[in-house]
Amino acid sequence: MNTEQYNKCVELYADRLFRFAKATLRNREQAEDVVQESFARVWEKRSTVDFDKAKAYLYTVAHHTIIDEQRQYQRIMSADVSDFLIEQTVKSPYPDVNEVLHKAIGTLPEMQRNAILLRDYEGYSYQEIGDITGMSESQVKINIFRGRTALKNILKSIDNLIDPEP
Amino acid sequence: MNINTDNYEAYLLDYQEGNLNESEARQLKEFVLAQGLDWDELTEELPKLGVPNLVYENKEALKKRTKKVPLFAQIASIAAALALLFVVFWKQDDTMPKQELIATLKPIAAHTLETETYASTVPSKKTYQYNNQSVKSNRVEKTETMERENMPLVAEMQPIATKTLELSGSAVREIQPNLPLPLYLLNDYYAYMDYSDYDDASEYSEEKPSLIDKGIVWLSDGRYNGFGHFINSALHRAKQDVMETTTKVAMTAYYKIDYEIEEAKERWQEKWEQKEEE
Repeated sequence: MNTEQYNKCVELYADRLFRFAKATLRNREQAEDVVQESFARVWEKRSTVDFDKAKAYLYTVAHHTIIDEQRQYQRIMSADVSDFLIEQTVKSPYPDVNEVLHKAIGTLPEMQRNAILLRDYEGYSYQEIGDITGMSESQVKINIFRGRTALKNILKSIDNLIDPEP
Repeated sequence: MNINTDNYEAYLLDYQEGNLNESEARQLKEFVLAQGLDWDELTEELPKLGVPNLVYENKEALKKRTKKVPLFAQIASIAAALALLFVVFWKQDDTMPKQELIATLKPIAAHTLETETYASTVPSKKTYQYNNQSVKSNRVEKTETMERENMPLVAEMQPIATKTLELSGSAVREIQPNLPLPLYLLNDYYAYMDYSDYDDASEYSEEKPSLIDKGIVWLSDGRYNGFGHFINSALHRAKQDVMETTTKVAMTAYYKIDYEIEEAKERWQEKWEQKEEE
């Protein structure tokens, strides 16, 4: 990959990588660090990384960097679901579903969270997500199913707290 | 299809996404019911995340400068270098109105000059007298005799008309590597910093002495004459985007000297001849 191609990668993927990192880390500065780190790694490896593979390489680096960050800040990341539910119901009686989902995803285990984000944000296939995260295709599907089910249950719980059935 | 307790959730996801045929869906349902699980609940629609409209704002900082230099930039650089050499070696005489040379470059709003502060921050090689003041210089030769009645203001170096090169962001960056003269010689204090992340910084480090050896040193001392201050004050004002600002300023100044120099030369020549006749 030459310099022009690298710069094109920045144009094409910086925003998307930032969205991914921000959604997983829920911290703007940390997300920016992840983006910088990922592109720095791609630049270092540009002689061996083809332009066509650059996106997958970026996300692979970002995924691992995010996991490191998440583990480093485990206390922050492992938000308690019950606290989250209380916060949401106190905040607004009519929460925006997408906003709630983006906050709720922070309560999921990291593999579920990252797999869902790679799927929903980037439209990666399960095989590609497996390549990035090091999981098998079946494990990716299981993580996504469990993650989505957890999100569904959170939405239901908030709904019940706001408007409890008689 | 081998459904078991370890993988049935993967098949449930496939089912939700419509990736199972009728037979496979039936097998899955039978398995789920056999496990005593709630088929309806497990096959409820699952939420998906919408993509937020977030933008990474520091893309320019991530980008690298390319080595590819447009032809016009190469020509402009050569022309400008020649023009600057002309300025360096143009015969000067105390009887001549020295301001005239730069009088073609009329002042605009002046910037604050921090001569003392700046002089103390740059690496020094020599000290020479300038308006009875000791000034440290990187200049290799012909520095001690340098005299002027008045130190020209930074603003004087700005041209009459603004002829800013209309360059897109990317074009500016492409030109950047081809500007070792203004960036190094005008501003080598910053150049080290500016090029520190350049992948081939060593090339520039090696190139710099050779340029100085060629005698293109005027700009190096130009900082004390005001020109460098102009660049540096611009840099101080735009630390967040040093490289881009440097390039734009340097290119603009470069281009303008090149543009104005012929007129200045002619006018000065006329005055010189008039003086001779007198």
